[in-house]
Amino acid sequence: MAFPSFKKITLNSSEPDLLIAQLDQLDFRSRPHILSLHKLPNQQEACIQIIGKYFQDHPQKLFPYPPYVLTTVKSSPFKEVSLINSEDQLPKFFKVKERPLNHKETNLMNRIELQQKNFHNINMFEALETISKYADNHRELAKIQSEMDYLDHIFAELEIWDGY
Amino acid sequence: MSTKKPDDDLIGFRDFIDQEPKQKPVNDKRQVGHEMATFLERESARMGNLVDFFEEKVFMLKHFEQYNQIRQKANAQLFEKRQKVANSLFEEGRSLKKNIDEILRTHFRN
Repeated sequence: MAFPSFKKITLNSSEPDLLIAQLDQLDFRSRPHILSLHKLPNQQEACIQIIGKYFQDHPQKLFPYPPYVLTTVKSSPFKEVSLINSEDQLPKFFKVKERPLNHKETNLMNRIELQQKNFHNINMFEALETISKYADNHRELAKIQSEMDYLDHIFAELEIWDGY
Repeated sequence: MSTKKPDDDLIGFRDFIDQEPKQKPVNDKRQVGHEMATFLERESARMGNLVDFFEEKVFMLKHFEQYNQIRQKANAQLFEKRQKVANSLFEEGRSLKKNIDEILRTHFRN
């Protein structure tokens, strides 16, 4: 059972096949991961491209624990990848030191493990598609509402100018 | 070295008074345990919320979509408002109508 605190992984190669093989071995869905690029200072951007593409192809691995990439690169075109420049930028919530658990904590941990299993059974592709469609629909409604607000504004201005 | 004297009223209590309070260890086991339990409880609640969102809320969104009805209603309202503004712009006595009439009269008088 993986304790849900940060686990730091040092990436060893910028070769796409080797990097993807290393990412495939990690269980991103059981605990939050930090992918460190400090061993590859000159290939960081290439690695971020590969990692970004990897998570675009496997969006289910972004939940329930989003991965973080520790790098000196400031920004990335991939919204799936959160870049951090130092470990201070990580969420404090998961910065917990692992230690043997007592009875109560073990029960809580078992409950979390069960919830993780429940979560793994969710079809994330379908869920994300539904959410994306819902968001697109709401954007359409927002456009219509915006036009209606604009027309209301014109109508109100006309009333004032022409003294009706 | 003890400072006990035979005529000291506090004899017998001196050891307790002089005794320095024991410092608690920095990592008090009970406190750490409490923090750990709190973290696990919060993580469990977070996971519960995520499961609830991705399982139940998304199911509702998928199977009870209201978009088409809302879109129809919004389109009808938009059409009504466009008509209202267009009619209002070309009513007799409106500045826009007066100005357009003036422009047309100036350019196409002959």
